[in-house]
Amino acid sequence: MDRRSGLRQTMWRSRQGLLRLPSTSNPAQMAKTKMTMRVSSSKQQLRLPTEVLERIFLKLPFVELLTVRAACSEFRKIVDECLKLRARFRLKFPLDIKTMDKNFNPQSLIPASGVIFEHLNIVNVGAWWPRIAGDITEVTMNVCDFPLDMLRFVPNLEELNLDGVKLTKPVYSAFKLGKIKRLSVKHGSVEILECLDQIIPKPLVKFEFAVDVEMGYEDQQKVIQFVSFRQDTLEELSLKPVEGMLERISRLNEAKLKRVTIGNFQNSPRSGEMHLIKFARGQSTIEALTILYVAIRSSTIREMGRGLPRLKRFVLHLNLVDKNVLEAATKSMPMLEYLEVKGPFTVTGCDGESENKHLKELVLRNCEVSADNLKKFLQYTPFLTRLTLEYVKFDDWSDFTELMSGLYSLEYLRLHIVSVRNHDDYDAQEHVNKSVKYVELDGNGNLSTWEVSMMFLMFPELKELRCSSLEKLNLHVIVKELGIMGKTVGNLVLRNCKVSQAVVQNIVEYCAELQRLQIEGDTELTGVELGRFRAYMKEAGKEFVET
Amino acid sequence: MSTIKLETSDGVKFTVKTQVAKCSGTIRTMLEDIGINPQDGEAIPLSNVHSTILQKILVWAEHHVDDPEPPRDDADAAKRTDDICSWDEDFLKVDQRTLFDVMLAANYLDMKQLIAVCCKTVANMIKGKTADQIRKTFNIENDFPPGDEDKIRLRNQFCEERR
Repeated sequence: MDRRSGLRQTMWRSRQGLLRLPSTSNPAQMAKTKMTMRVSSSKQQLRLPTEVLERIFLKLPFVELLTVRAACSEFRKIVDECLKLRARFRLKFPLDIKTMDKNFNPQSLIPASGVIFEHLNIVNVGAWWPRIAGDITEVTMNVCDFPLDMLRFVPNLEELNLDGVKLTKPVYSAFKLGKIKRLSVKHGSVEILECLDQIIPKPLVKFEFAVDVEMGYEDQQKVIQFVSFRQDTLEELSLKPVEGMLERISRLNEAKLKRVTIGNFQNSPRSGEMHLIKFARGQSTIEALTILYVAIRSSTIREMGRGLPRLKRFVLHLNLVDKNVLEAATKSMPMLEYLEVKGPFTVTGCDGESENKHLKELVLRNCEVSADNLKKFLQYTPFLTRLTLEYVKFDDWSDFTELMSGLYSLEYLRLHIVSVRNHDDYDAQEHVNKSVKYVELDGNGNLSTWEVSMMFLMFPELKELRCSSLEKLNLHVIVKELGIMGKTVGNLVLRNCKVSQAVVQNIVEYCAELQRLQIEGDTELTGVELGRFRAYMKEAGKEFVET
Repeated sequence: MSTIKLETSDGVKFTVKTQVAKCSGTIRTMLEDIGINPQDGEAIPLSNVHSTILQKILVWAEHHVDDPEPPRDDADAAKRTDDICSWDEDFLKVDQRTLFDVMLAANYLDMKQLIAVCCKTVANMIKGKTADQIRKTFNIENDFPPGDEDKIRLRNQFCEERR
């Protein structure tokens, strides 16, 4: 049915296009064009139709769009009326005033789909808000006082984010907010939630709620009621629940939650973990689960995993040391694709032989690794393509290199403050990984210039290297080694690296294969040096990006 | 190999391989859906395309005729403008009048890949320019009332990129 009507439409279009004059050469249209664009007749007439200009503008970065908008009224109209472009704009009101009252009346604002208010006491917006609010789909209020009545004018609102707000209650509660799907209240109060409960209709897809103080029993009940009332449409839920609340949530029978974040879960050692297990069993549809700052043992994780057969993403921030966390997660959650664990914890080995074939990305933060154990563990995740190690300590440098040589699917490696205890020798011939294509080094930990340089031998197929804040290392040496040994590297990004003249000198001298260089942040180069380097890059046909 | 005839606005007739002509969505639709029979020997009138431009476009189509169907672009890929292949880059090193004429014709002929690469080229021309330089590039006049431009700049203070 759809296909046929689509076909008829194309036929119609082609008839129009071929048998008649196309719209752009329609005389009436042309006359109008001349009026609006005032194309001077002496010069050549360049006229692109709106749909083509729109496509060009869609390729432009945000800042350029603002410039285009200031070029002429036709361009401005195109930018303002294109819904795809509008979706990229957001009005932002941090002003040099603290109070927004009837004296504030901005004219012809950019039509945007989102609006954000920050640190404002909003008293009266009657002069301008109703004019623009009709098109708004997203409202964000950060640390503002505002009258809830403002929401009477946003019938297309889909997302409302309130962070640290105080609101003035409306006199009557007839609001038209039929399209709202996502609600977030942070640093809020249950009182705010009660207000919103009156005006926000039942179907919500996402709900996030966090208060600063500990909630009493009655308040907990109110939050749960709010959730319970909307359980059949909710897919995403983010709460800082106490035990009792979690218990109630696990009993929401009609909920089909997909993404859940449990923040700051305050649990007593035994019953808390029991509630987490019950929760997992009760809400078995969850695909992405984040649990922050929790004391949880690997036996509990195993039990939870059994209750969550669809889990693909699991993020766990522990505040208790447990050795078998990784193993427990990958074994009990067979569909897992993304696993992030923040320590402190120590990685121990894997004794079983059950492979996890879905795990593609592993992020380890704040943990101590005996490379031997991590290696054993990673044997069972044969399709791991992305690995991030943050604040991770290895015993020996050779442990690290040996580990890398065993990861046959790994393509992306990110190291953030990685340290080794013993800087021993490394046999470049022995430990090679040919699958790694992207390496990101962020803060050097205690890796030496030599060790970083050795990575070019370790990863002979490296395509891209990103370095951030490597102050302690001799960057010019690394760049030289890159030129000599890392000939496959086409793209180099140096972020906040205080690039010196020696660095660019070595790029010129050694890095013939480098195709693209991006420098972010301040450099130590003088204007003349930088100019000369730019000229070199241009001459050599290489791309040079400075941000 | 089958061929069809195309006739441009200035009355020039081109004999083109059907496969190459089908790079144009407009011609493809005509042949496949409406069922115009190319064997009739009658030329398809392209009343909106000049022969010099069609010639150029046919060179492009000939070069790209075997290109695989491009992947459905996600938002990030759609914004990229640095992925023009070097052949296209050379092909579009023409004066601006010709570039715009090629775009107009490509739009009329519904050649998505050619339009995309032209849009990227023009977007690159706009990047880094001031409003005044953009006006010069597109040969348009500033039609805002005096002072209005400053107001626009002021209003831009209230605008940022979403996400």
